[in-house]
Amino acid sequence: MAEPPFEQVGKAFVQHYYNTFDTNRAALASLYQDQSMFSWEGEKIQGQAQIIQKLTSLPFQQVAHQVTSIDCHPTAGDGVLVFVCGNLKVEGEAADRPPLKYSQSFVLSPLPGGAGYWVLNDIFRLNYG
Amino acid sequence: EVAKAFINHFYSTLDSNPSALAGLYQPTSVLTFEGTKFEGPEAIMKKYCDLGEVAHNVPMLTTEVQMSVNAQSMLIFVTGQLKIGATGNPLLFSQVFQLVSTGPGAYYVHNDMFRLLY
Repeated sequence: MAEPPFEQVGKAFVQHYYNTFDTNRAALASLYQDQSMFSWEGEKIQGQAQIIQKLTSLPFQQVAHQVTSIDCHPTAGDGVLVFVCGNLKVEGEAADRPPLKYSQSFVLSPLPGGAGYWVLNDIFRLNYG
Repeated sequence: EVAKAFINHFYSTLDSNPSALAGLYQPTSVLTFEGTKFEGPEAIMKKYCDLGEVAHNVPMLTTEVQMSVNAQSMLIFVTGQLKIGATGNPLLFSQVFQLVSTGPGAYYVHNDMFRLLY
């Protein structure tokens, strides 16, 4: 059974986002615009420049995201709502430490002319047991 | 404000009288619960009723809100704990809602996604 387009968009986006995040965080800039809103552990940040500034100044150099679930819905304005849960491995952590759990929600908004999507909403939370 | 009131109302209704949740959804609403999709108020309400006894730790929830695609839509992101049954251990969960306004002070849930966090 073919996957609906919004599922494909959501999954492709998640893969691209975390690959870029884990290898070259500053390159995420093209995904955000001035109206983009980002919440990181309760801290609210708006706009491409501020968001990239926050992402590149997080207190770790190397990180790897391991995605355990992705849920996608179409939403208003031809957007795609994406909800991701997963684990975060930060550099320097012992291999036997339990991974940090996180969940993240994005609303993707279409670029004009079908050129792709940009991130309108982005909310990130670590999940402590 | 609106988001906090909605969250309090949603989880207290879910824990005490889930059939009353139907009024929060419209035929275009979609719920993904642990990866399975449910569409429309009846299917969604039935899923919530089928959960059986559940209690969400409302005072300890963290809620994040952002205005979304247009002035009528609001993205709400919740993380917290819940217990299933009288003796269950607390489980971590995360839930995302897209609320859409149909008029002053009137909202419905357009998108709803729930995940337990293992």
